[in-house]
Amino acid sequence: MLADEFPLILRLVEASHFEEAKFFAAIAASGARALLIGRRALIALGLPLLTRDYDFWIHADDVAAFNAGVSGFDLFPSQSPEEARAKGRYVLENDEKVDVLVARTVFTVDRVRVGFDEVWARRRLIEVNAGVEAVIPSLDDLILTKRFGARPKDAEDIRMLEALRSQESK
Amino acid sequence: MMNKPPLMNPPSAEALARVRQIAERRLSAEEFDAYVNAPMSEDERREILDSVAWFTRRYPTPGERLAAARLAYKRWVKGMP
Repeated sequence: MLADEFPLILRLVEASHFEEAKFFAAIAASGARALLIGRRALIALGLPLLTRDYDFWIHADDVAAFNAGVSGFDLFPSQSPEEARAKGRYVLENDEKVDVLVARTVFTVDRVRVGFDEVWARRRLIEVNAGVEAVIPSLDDLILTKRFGARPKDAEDIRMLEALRSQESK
Repeated sequence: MMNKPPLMNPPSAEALARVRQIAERRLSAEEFDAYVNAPMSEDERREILDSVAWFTRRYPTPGERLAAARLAYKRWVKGMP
């Protein structure tokens, strides 16, 4: 009995072999509409920041596809797709932590309604590695998503993004 | 011969948890806007853009930047109590 379960237990406790480029490639291949948001998106754009998590905002209909896409990385969802949709967010976790927002609309701290479909329509691609692309919101939308959580570090991030935007508009 | 400087004790886990709680708190719309809209000095703007210029020069692709940030975070965590 234990001999049968041991490989599974070992798989659960051993360190995952996480390769970031393969992780993004798997998300792209999953077909899920997934936007990289949060500090990882800022880092990809060129802001030198620290963060533990990956943050994604995905289409509410694509939870199962997203989970299946990253299942090879031993990332386990905290909730079923139905529960995640009802709650609006969930977590995929092992050694890595992926926060997933699944709400169709989110309101900023000052009650501005932000819809996934509109942000998705304005999305941008970044090439993470050769042949591997990730989807991020436009700079304006990335700033809007930073107004969801409204923590001090989000305000700090917006100031950095505004500085970046001011340079790009020159 | 110089005296050895005193050893600095890292902050306790409780102190770090308290700092994390403060840093993770949700601000009101007014507090948040006050922070975001505070005038940015030319020095602050230059400092941000200089750090971006350094980071993108050192790590030219998004993949390299993400990998560097992952490594930096792991090193940082190792140094925490």
